[in-house]
Amino acid sequence: MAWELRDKVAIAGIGQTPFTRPGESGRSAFALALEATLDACRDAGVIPGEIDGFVTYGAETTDPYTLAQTLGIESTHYMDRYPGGGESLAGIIHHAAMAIAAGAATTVLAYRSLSGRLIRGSGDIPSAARDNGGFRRSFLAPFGAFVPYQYYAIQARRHMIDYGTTTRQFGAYAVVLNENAQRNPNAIHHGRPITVDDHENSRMIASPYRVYDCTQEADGAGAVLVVSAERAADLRQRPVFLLGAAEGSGPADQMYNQLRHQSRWNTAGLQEVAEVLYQRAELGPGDIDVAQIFETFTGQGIMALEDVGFCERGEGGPFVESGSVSWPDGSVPINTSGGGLAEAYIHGFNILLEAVRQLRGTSTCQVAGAETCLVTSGPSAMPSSALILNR
Amino acid sequence: MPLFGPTMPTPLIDEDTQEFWEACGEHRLVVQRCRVCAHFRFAPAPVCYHCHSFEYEWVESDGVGEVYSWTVTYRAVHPATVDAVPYNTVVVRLFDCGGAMITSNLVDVDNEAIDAGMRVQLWWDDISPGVSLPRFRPVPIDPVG
Repeated sequence: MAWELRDKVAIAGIGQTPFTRPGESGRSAFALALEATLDACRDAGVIPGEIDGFVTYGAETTDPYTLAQTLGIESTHYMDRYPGGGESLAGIIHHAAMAIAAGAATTVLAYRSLSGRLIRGSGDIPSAARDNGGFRRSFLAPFGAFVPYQYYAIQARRHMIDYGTTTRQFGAYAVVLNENAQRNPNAIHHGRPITVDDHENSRMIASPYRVYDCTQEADGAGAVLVVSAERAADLRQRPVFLLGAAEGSGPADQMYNQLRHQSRWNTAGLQEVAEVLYQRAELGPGDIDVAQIFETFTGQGIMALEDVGFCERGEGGPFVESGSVSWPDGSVPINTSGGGLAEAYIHGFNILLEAVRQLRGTSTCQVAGAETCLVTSGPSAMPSSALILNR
Repeated sequence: MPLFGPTMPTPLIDEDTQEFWEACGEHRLVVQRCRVCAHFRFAPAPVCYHCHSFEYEWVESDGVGEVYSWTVTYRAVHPATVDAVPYNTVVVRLFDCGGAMITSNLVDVDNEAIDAGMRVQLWWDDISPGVSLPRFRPVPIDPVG
């Protein structure tokens, strides 16, 4: 049975809070989620009581039903969470679209909120205690590997080993995003451009990763409203349509599912998701005008560019270094609001908001005439997801 | 001297991993092999990912392998690692047992000298009575060749 959602649903509203450094907002994630939700409703011209569906990340702390109750929403019909963290970003939009196409809901809110550090240096072992067979707790933690920057550093190192990728190429990726952030007043790195040398001289966190390879943790929330294409036509904003969506995972040859992809540590694990996505959208990588890549770390962003077919496997470093993903002149500008490294880390949700702005023509790094935007979710964490939006 | 502080997490042992850790306590590094299709799997899991048989046996590794990838952690995540930074975490690919990959640490090594393909051998770290962790050290290069 063919995927039948192409052009059937649209994002009709986007909302967000200011993004601040972690802990600086003085507000709970719950309060931030409520503010972003109301902002999305205002943007779309929808009253909160019309929201009848809620989708969010598995890792989200603001419970969907509590959110609905707090907003006085008296009738809800659909709630869902996608497994995991940043992998959820595109997947929840896919789930919202399926619910709408199936007639299960008419107005679905997708949201994500964060306040305080996601990964504290406090001795907690985040989300590790109860994963598959206690794998992280028993087979990684006793050896000093606790958190994503360590796991992902090990994968990035393997990309360097296999393809000769350099830390200066990681730096070039960080510079692209930080340059875009200079035009976005809501980016945490606004007013603070960096050079590749700054990257190379920044504090080492877990080799090969330095501070400027890592995502910028933040307080903040984002929300979008997903409705049918017909309903979107009657709302305030120009609709942004879902052209394709895909989620899932590719093969992993052996049991090693927390330090993922034992057989392919040099990818972001998005290759199979992207293949399905392009087939559903009836497009190829050359048709994408602008892309929002949830990288979490520079090396994973570079691997994701390879996975989605913007360049050949192993060529991601030189591809970035050559300016191919830079705004405005690159062949496919990425992360035009600054992305997770330089705007904020809202578990990727902020890049979805930026995708919508690009297709409305309202980005601070607007790609002229952009008609298609690719959004990819958490790299090297499965099951992941991706989508293509158009206008 | 221990690699990490006294509050360092130790393995949680459950029904699926008990035999593995018991073998470690006896200084035997073992990897599961499916009795039906002979695929190796690591970490321990109840079922074969290839043929879905629950029947398995433990195969003892010689404990020799190579560095597949690694990181050196400079920013301590856990209080037990504050005095250990910078410390290495390596992924070792065993030469036997189907090339099983084990995350561990290298001892007796300069972190700057760690490289892909570096040959390593098993070294048992007895962290408490009955609990030993498989760590590794570089294989000395034989000057004669």
